[in-house]
Amino acid sequence: MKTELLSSEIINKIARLDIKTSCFVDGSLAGIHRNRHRGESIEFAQHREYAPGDEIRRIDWKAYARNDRYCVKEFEDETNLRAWLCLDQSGSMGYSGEGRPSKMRYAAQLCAALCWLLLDQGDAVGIQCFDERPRTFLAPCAQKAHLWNIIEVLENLQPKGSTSVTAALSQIAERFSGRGLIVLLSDCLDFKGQFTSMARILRKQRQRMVVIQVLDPDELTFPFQELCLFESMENEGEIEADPRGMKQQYLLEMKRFCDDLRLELEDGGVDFAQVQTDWPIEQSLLALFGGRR
Amino acid sequence: MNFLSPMLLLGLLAVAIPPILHLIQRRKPKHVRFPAIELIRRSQRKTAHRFRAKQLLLLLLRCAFLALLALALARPIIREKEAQLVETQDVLSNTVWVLDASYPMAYRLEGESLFEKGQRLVEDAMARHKGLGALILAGTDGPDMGLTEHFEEAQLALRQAKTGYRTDDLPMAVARAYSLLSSGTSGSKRVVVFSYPAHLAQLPPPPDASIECIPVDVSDGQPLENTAIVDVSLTPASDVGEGFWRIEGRVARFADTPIENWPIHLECEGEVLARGFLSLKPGEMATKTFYARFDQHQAASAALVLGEDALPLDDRRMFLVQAEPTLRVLAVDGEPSPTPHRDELFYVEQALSRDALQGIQLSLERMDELAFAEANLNDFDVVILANVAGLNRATAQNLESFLRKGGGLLITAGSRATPKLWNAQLGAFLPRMVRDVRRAGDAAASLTGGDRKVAHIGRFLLGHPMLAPFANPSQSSLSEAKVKRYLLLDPNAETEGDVVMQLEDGAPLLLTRPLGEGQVALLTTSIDRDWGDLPIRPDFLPLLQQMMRVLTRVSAISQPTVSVGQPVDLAVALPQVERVRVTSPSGRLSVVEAPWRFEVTDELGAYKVEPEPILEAVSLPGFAVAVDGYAGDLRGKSAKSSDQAQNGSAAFLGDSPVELWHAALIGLFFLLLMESGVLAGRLKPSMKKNERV
Repeated sequence: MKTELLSSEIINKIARLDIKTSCFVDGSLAGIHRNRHRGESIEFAQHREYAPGDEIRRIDWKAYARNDRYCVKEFEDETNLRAWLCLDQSGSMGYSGEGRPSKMRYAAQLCAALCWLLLDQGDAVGIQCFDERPRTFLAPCAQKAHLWNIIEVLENLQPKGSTSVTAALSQIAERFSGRGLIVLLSDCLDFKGQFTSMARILRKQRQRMVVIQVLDPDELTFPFQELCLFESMENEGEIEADPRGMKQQYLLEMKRFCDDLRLELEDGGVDFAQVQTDWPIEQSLLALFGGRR
Repeated sequence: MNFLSPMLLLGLLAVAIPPILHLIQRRKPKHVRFPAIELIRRSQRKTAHRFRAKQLLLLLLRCAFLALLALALARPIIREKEAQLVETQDVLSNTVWVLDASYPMAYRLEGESLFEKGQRLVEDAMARHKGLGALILAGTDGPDMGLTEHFEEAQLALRQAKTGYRTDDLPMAVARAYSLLSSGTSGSKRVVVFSYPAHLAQLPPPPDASIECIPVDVSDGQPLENTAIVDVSLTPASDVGEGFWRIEGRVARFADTPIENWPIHLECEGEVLARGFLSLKPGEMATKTFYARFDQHQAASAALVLGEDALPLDDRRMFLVQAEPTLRVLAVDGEPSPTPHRDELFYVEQALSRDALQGIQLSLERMDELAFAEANLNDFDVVILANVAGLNRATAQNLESFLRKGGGLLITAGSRATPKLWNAQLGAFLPRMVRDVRRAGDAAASLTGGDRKVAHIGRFLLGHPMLAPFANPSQSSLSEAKVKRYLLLDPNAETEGDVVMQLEDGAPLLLTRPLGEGQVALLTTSIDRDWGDLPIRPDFLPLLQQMMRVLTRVSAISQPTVSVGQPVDLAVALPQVERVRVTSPSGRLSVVEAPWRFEVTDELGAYKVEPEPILEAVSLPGFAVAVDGYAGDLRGKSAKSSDQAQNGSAAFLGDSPVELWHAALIGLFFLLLMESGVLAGRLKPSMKKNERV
């Protein structure tokens, strides 16, 4: 199966990347992520006093010789990651600058690359699309073949409607109670105050959350020169404006908006990254997760 | 302020271009679907007012730029003296303000007359003045004031002043101002003259360099367009009908623009008799003719009235319609005949027919010699003795008395004329004694190939009133007349008089002689075809008619209207009238005696002339007084003023215009700078377009 979302060229570039969470995760398969349960790995964690029921072979006799007490060695266990990719498919994600993919398309490419990476390192990946309410949902799965299910979903996405990120996150919180990683891809232009409170709830559930803001360069540079009738892409009406007179103010407002968003998310323990649709995919991934295998 | 190229002021219409472009651009906004609409809305809320103000400022700057460019191209000028006048109002000096009060100053411009504006300017100048000053009102009988520091009296006279009808007083008033300043005053001396361009061009130069003459054009250089009736002539038009008159009004257009279908009408005693229209090109003068019938025997005041313009005084010209002067002729037929063309008076009657004599009412009465002896000559103005044999003593004495009182006598020769009898009986009033009757033709005539049996008229006394109808009598048909027989007169006569026409051999053909108040004319050939063919020549008619006019001193009505201030020569030819009484339109009475010249023509309207004391059956022609229509040309004559400027002193040269287009260009430069500043402020953000937030 061939797809434009994930070309071999992209795979070659990202093959050397890996994704690690900075916290403990719960998983059913062995993987590269640390599990809070002590297991049989070679990495020593701590000594624990022997208790009835422990296997006799796990007693550290050298420690008994030193302390005259029965101690059991415990080792760090490694498990796989369960990750959710939440993708915004609202109307505003359909914007595309001249010669560039739409924000929707770029976010889908980013999703596909993330999926490949996670599945490649044995993690389970699920996807949740949303606009004003949750749409397509695929449960996390660690099988590599699951990649194609996700890509099929991503290929068929159409930007429409307004945005309500809290509804999508609520659904994830209801369906998935264990530890994991939530990657949210959106332009974040319609994030309201509820999003932060929802992020705090997920944080309490030990969910690690990453927000990726996908923006077109036009939104950051406002290159328009003549009188324009700006129409909203999410049914918020239209406005006639002369860009020459307000460009400076717009850039100021955009900068302030992005800074406020970053601060708010960081306060809520949410990682934040901003990518632009003219960046190469691997550059965006590096900006997100960094690190080399 | 004035403009050298006022047509280029049409460029001011270009001021509309920026708003039009703005409106056109506004109608076509580019449609853009954009995600961050909330941020745009927020930004616009904060910048809309500032941006709109900046845009408006930019629009105004561009409009002002185009307007100033059009003004600069139209080359605005200001009179240097006007500028100086404004600058030197407060300077201590001796100043005489001369305000023109002639009737053209009544020209209305922008709601007020030039005179009212002049009053305002003078009053303003007086209020600011700190030195000695005086006011002279030219054209009215205002008070004659000397130089003073207190202007209350002058200001009162100024406020009460009105325009007069005279137009030629300004140079005298300016000369009076010069004399006021010349008499012993010290300090700077200035004569400020407030008038219109045509009058300002006629100012006399100052007598010395210490006096400065500042002409102030109260019209501010604006075009003073006017249409005026400059003359009206009135002649009887019996060819149109009984009692009809031909009224010819000459109308002049004193402007650089034409008029189309301008109304004009004729009215008599307040009633409109005829209406018409006139179209005149710039500077053109045209004649409008009306035919109207008035009351034949009474004088009536009528007027030709133009459609009103900015100067109404010269749009109405009054004239008097008067009964025609009656020429009463008594013709004595010395050789009557039952065959009309053989009658001695046949050609006289044809020449003096009623229709032929324009402007004079004629009554011709004919009688034979016997009846003439009993005729009362006081009932006639002219007596024609056509081929009479002689007169008895009583008749001759009666005729001489008639002549001495102003009557006229024409004597014509013929077959019944005998020298001896004529010398004896008519000698008292013949211009010369008769020597013989001579047949034309001699040996000299046969040698040159001429007709030996006829003589032609060879010499004319040019300039004689009887030859007035002929521009060149020697080329008229009179010179072709053939005279077969004529009276040979005494060459050594010492009596007064003129030889009006002579034959080729020098023999007199027509002679005149004054006798007392009267006049005698002698035609030495016959007035019928017996002695020649003079009566059948075309120019015989005007000659005989003119002879009647000269012999009786009765002339056609030719000048029913005179201009204000001009003297009038009254037509009083009646010997029995010794004094006349002239009544002005306001009822003022004046008594005039010989030489019948009336000079106080200072009121507009009809003047009545009557004998003093009143005589029954004697009516004298009156006259009407109107403003001088030619003075209605208010436009300046640049050539004249420059000539005067060359002849005048250096101080008089200051009327040169100062061009202001330099200032306009400097204004343009500053406007460009301001626009650049506004644009730079607007372009600043776009110059940083590569910077990302």
